[in-house]
Amino acid sequence: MSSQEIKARIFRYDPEQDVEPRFDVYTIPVIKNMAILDVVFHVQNYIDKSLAFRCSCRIGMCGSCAMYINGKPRLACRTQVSSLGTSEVTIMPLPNLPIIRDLATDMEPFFEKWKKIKPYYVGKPELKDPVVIRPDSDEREFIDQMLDCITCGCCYGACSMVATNEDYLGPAALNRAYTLVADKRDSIRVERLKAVGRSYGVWRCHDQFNCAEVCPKNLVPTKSIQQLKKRCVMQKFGVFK
Amino acid sequence: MSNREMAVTPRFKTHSQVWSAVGMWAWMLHRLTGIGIVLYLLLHATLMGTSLIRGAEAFNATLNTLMTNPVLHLAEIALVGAIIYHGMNGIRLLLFDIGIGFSRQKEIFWVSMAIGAAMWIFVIISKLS
Ligand code: SF4
Ligand code: SF4
Ligand code: FES
Repeated sequence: MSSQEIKARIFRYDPEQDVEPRFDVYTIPVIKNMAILDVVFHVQNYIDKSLAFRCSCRIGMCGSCAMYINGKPRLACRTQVSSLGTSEVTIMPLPNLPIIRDLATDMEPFFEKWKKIKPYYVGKPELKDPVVIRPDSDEREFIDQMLDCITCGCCYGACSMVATNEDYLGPAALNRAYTLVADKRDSIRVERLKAVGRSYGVWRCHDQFNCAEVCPKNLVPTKSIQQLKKRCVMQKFGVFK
Repeated sequence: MSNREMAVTPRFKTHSQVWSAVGMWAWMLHRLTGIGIVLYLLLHATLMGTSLIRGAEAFNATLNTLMTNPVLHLAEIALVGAIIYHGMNGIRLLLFDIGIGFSRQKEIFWVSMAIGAAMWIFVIISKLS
């Protein structure tokens, strides 16, 4: 294994200096259990110090290392070189987001939309803490898995509706909105529902499933979005309070 | 460069897509067949409408030209295929809309495609015989 090498084509672009982006090709020795994050670190440490990328936890928790790797947005730290099944890897920045430099994208539009759905719980004033929804009660809705989002933006970079509409809130924000709308103790559920029930909200989603295809946490935002669509319709008919 | 400046500088973005995903192709084909069917309907309504207004003879003449053109017969097979695809994938999408099948979307796609293909082959065979 250690004698092996991989060829990494890495997207390079510095908006302050370059007119056009380009690809630099590096040959890198493969080490045991090497992740794509190790590949870009190798380039930065030993070949070209100016390569820019973002990472923090290195264990798939922080969601900061998402890149477009061999045709799919993935977490660089959780993508093993061996899992790609090829000795050539193309690494590009996350699609649908402005590029700060090289592989580092500006997550601002992603989090602007995250803010739009009011991503925090607002308790009903009459409720006294701690309010519990018992796991076996009818009020309890299944959202456990949907809470696992690490806001990496992989889904945002994969969605063709995001690519074709700047205002579309995108899978991650809508998934977050659903986890809150599903919580009966929340006092601004209807307001939140109205914020997502627009043409640039849930109705933009065309059940393409690219988000679910790439989510490193195996979330299915499509499902959360469908649950929101259902509640939007119920709300129009006055059944959702 | 300050953050503020950075936010207003127009910058390069990539719009790479996920071409390895079944859902991506299902969506693309759904769009394409949808547009094709709408164009066909418009053409159909215009041709039929205008020739009908011009009287029985004009209508018969138009039909005659259409029905004797071998290319149009092939196009008709393609049209049937497009309608079957759009219909079958439409059923798949409707299932999602009522909350069924999110964890099995690819399998549902292939099953609906298999049924659709069988229907299409049946149409082709009965047309050719
Ligand atoms: S839903 Fe999945 S892909 Fe999207 S931001 Fe959250 S963890 Fe990342
Ligand atoms: S299912 Fe909806 S949100 Fe997810 S990628 Fe497709 S269009 Fe985007
Ligand atoms: S570095 Fe934290 S998720 Fe990859």
